[in-house]
Amino acid sequence: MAAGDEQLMLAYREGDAGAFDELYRRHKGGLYRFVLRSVRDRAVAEELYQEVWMRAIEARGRYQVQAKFTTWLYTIAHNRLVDHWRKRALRVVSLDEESDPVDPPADPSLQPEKILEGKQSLARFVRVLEALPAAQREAFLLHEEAGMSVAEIAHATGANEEAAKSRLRYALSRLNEAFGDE
Amino acid sequence: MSDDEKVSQKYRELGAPEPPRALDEAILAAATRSARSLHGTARSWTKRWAVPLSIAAVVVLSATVTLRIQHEQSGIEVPAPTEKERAAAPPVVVAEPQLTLKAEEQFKAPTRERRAKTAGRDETRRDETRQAEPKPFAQPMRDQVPAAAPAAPAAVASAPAPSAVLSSRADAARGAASSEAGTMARQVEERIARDAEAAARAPQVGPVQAQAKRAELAAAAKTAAETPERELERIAELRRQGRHDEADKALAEFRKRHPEFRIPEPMLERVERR
Repeated sequence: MAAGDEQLMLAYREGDAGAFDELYRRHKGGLYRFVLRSVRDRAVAEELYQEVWMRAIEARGRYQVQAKFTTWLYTIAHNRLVDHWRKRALRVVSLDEESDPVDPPADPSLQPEKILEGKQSLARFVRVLEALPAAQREAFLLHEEAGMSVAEIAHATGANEEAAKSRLRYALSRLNEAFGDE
Repeated sequence: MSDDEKVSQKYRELGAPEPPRALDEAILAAATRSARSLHGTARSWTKRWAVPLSIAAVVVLSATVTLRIQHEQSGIEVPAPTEKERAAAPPVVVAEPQLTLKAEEQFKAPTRERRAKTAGRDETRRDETRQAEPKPFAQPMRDQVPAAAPAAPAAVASAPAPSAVLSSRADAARGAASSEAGTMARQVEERIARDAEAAARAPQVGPVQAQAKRAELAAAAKTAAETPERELERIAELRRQGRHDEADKALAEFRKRHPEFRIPEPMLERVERR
């Protein structure tokens, strides 16, 4: 049975570098996408992403199992993003600028027009996501990338549960409308 | 499929970009460095040595306190009692176990006088334990305070109240002859103790001389601990073996210590040179 995130972090706190490697492997993708889709610039996203992990490394001596490791890690990320937004004007990342191309559908039988249609649908989805208020987008990304519940989103963002629930519900509703119009 | 699930599926179609490999390596390297950092090393070192160091500290502290106590007890100085004080000293009797416990409690008192008193009673008990059953903690007490013995007679002489209590209880339990014998033995021990203290404090006395003196004192203490009857028996035995000089010397010493003791006629015939 694999060790939980919290046990791994405690082991890393005691000096087990291997435990951190496993934690990083588990959470690097989700955290990276969370940061990347929260800011406009990929370079900035990478810088912020690295800073979040460095803060987690520095804070390991103070780590206590008071909540899920995921909540702790994304709280650090949220705080770093808030700092970033305070320093710069509130900006949203354009997912069109991502260098990674969107993976085409796996089914080779799809016609080019279908692929184009799919890309257009995704582009519309991305535009809606970009247009969401930052707090709603953050709630949605935490829900999707970190698998957080409303309560955990509230904890990570410092909001009350009602506010977190409202933000997530509104974001889902808007995104659903985006491809529901197709 | 619910609307929320559709949104999630659509979001997944956006792809799952991963951080660049160089970024991964940089973060993992930083994490490894941090794990091996001075803070981590110091913490583990502290944790590893905390228990052994604590044990060592306790051992050293205990040894220091023990040596200190022994040193303080060997340095106890009590003025030697005068002949008058010794004569006025109450008779020493056999202590009951409860009294021994009382003395044990008093032994724990921090003052020098209290220690001296207790040591004196302990010396007294040395006589008593030959007649009574051995007490489980009497021997360790003697072992713990060997140097405090010289101060005992004066302390006993200056503390008549506990001795009076002892005397009244012992009178009911023991005969007058035992009390008299105990008193005489104690007086001799007082003298021996004073000599021992003087020998211990005299800087000009060498180690060999001091050792001889201690042996002599120990022998005298043994003699003093005997009852007059036993001592006379020992003298009679010397006489029977033809060691008349030793017998004469022992008899003279006996009469010096027990001037009031009336030697029975049959015994007189056995101990005197005929």
